[in-house]
Amino acid sequence: MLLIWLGTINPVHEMVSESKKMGALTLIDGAQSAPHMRINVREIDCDFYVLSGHKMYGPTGTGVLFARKSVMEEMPPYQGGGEMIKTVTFKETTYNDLPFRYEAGTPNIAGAIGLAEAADFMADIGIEKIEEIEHHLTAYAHQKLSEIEGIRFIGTAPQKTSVVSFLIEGTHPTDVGTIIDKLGYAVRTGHHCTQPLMDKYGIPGTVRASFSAYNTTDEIDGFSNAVAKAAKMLR
Amino acid sequence: MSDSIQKIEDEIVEEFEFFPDWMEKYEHIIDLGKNLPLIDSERKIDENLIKGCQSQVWLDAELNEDCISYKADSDAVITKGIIALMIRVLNGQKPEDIVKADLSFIDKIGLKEHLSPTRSNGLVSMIKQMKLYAVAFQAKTQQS
Repeated sequence: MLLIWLGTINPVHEMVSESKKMGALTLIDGAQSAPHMRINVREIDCDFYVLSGHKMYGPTGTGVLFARKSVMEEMPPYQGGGEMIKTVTFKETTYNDLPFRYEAGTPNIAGAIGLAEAADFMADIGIEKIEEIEHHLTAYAHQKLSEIEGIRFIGTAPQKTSVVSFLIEGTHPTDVGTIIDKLGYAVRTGHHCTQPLMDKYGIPGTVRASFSAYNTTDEIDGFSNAVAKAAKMLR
Repeated sequence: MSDSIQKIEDEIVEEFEFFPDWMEKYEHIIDLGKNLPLIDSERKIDENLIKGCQSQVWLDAELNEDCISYKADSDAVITKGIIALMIRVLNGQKPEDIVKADLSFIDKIGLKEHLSPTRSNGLVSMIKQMKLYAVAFQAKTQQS
């Protein structure tokens, strides 16, 4: 749904509806969207939607796979194990009802409880509130960083979430990342596993800062100073 | 005749002790990177690229009168600084000494623990490639 280093919000409704015209099933990777915006799978009308727990304040190793009931009813189970079978006779095996037939074996119970807590945590703050804070922080970061000489933002779509990807003229993104890491700011650097897109822009990678609802404008001031210092050291 | 590998390693360890905090150590590495002699552009070919580095690193080596001379370059300046340290230690040394070198200065100056895991892996790849050249030249000399 989102491009992980550009932050661009893709028009999934239209993409799904166009795909349906071709008779395709649709799966939306919402790992980057779930932490930042309200998601309504009925409105999107997709067949599958996946999201990742650790990207929305939850434990690692957890996630959600939503599947449309009518699609699930037609699919065979992909894995066997405890709790996914209803009856076994010499003649036939009957699989359990939905969703249990897809949940073979002992599930990650502690992880699921943690993920539910994370979802409640987000709901308590309110997703609209989270969006509002993140939008403000992103705009502020753009404004502060644009004061740095030679900065070039990559990904400035009008509809975007709280990531800021950039390069500083005359420096390598990995070097900028190393210096600001020493100054206490964690960013992602490199090609973000999207080399074809990097090639399109003709760049070796970017520095990407991501903001969350718990960040503050003070932290962005510090971050921006760290980037300015790194630029000065490296050029 | 170059100083022994151990002697150069000790010098580097002493040099880094002179810088009290890691920002200054980085400034020093960056300076070394900026001053690394450039590799000829016709040697910046894919065959000379080291795999496993996040930034692009080219390494080339040749044997001159029983000693190896390395040339390297990178598009990232901190990486270049680290290469400069490696070259300072291993340049002009005999293949058999390079193969044996334990390069403990890297741990002593705390370089590995101050690099991100991907950068640290890149450093390991770089050392491996430098040693591979030494092994290859050693085999070649023994044959002839």
